[in-house]
Amino acid sequence: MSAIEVTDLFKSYGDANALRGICFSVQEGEIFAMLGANGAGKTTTLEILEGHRRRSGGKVSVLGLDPEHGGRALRERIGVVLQSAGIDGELTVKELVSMYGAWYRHPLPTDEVISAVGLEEKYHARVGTLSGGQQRRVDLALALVGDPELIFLDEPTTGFDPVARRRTWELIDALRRYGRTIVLTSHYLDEVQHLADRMVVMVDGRIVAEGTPESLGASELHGTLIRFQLRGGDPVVALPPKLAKIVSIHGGEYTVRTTDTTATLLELCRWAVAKRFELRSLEVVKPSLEDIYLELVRSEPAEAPLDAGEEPA
Amino acid sequence: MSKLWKDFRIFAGQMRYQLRLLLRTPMAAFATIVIPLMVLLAVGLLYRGSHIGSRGDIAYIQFFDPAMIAFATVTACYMSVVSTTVVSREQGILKRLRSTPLPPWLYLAAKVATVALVAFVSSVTVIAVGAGVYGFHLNWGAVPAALLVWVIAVVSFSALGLAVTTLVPRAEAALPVAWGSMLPLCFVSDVFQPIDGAPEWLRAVASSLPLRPFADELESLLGPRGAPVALNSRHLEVLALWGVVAIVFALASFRWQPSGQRRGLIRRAPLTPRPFSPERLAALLRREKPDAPSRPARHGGWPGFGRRTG
Repeated sequence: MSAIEVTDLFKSYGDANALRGICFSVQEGEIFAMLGANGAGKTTTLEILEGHRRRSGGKVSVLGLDPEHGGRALRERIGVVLQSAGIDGELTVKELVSMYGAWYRHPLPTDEVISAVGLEEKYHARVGTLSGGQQRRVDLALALVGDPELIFLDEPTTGFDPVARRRTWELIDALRRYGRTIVLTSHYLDEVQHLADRMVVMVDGRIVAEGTPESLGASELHGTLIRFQLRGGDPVVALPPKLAKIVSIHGGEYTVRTTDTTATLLELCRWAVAKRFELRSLEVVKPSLEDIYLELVRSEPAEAPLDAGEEPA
Repeated sequence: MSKLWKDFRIFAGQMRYQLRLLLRTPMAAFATIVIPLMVLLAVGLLYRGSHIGSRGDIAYIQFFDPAMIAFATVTACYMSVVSTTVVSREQGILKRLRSTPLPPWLYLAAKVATVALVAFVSSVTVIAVGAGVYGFHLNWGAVPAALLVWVIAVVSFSALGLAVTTLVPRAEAALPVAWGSMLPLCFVSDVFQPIDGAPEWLRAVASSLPLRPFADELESLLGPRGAPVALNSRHLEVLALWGVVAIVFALASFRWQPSGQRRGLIRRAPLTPRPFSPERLAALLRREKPDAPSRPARHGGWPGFGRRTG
């Protein structure tokens, strides 16, 4: 059964379209990640799912309810970490977590939640005195204290040091083990690769790729990269025409992208031997998720002026 | 029943946290409780021993102390509701609350109950200090009636405060808007001095605004010794009507999201921002002229004979 169903979701602000018809579903118990540049529409999507924003068109179902009308019944079952949200800095960590817990039907014990996010030592500290990363952990504690079935995390580890980031990953892994569903956005590809069961890449309010981190990185789709260097200071050498079409040169490094790896490699080596060039640091690699992501974000054609964008049905 | 009990417990908890927040921000407590007291002490000193002819020759403090109760109540309800609510909204605290099961009405009710408590403490202090320092004599028989008026006023002015927050775009604007709307109102509403001698039209306008009916009612109930306890129903109607209008307006327009996040951000920034331009930066560092058309020269012709444009 799916925890979230989104069909043809549109959102426009005035004449600007923030979301241009996106569809996806999130299964119960999975970690679903949304990836994209700033302004791609990740937060807008998340806030529509959380009930903070109204959609301009399309269908949305969260735990079987419409987030615009789900009200208290829905909010009892979801936990939310917003990208940025204020907090009453004059209250202590303990006061805040127990206050939030009191609003839910089956809250987790305050002390346990605070320990889980690693703030035991700050139990009685006023939240305003904590560092940015520590406040972000308070955000996480407040989202978890109600023991929600579905958790929205908008850039949950931004501003964390590497240790805190690892601990947060472990925490999210633990949540999945106990059957919780998680929707997260992130800028970090390693984070998504580590955590996500499925992911989508958003560009300009559209989903341009969807799948598991492995399937998006699958070499059959995106070919392999053959990288090598030629002796430094060499003028650009005439490559065989077949290779010249697909090579990109950056600094002294040549990169050939191909789906026909074996033949291309053979051709390259033949040419190098014939010309007596040494191919230094020759390597044949699978493009990383980051390579693929950067290509997806870059290759998307720029939109026509905003007002020419399509209107929601 | 158990749901009602749970909601009540949430309400009580919210009040406790709101009070705690107030106590931990001493400046807020200062503004709401100390300012009315200071005005009472200062003005009371100026007019010590004088009497008000237009009001049956009563001692000035018999007019001024009830007026200051009205001032203290409006400060605690209207002023602090506007400023704290706008600040919480702009910091994103309200938005965060909106993603929890805390019912919005419970949050707002607890907030109003908290300011009511502060207003009550402030009013009692005004009575006690007025009695102790200037010999104010409270008309005890009228206290229950005055309490009824006071409760209606607390609800109305808190609701007005909530309604006004929707007109305040930024956190920095909250205090100026609150003071800027409240002070002029006080001057024409029998609060700082009686306006019995003011032009008829001004008194008519003031009577249709919410503060004068409230102040007049307290003044006529609590001030004169042995006055008959009679509520002026017109005063109550005006006060309550403002409250109802404010509640309807607040319900229709109250916002939980910070202003910057509501709309417009995306409209102002293109959806696909231009990529960084290292080449442009490099050109800049080399002090090369950009390709863009250069600005027209300010002067033309011979030095010292510059053409003036515009």
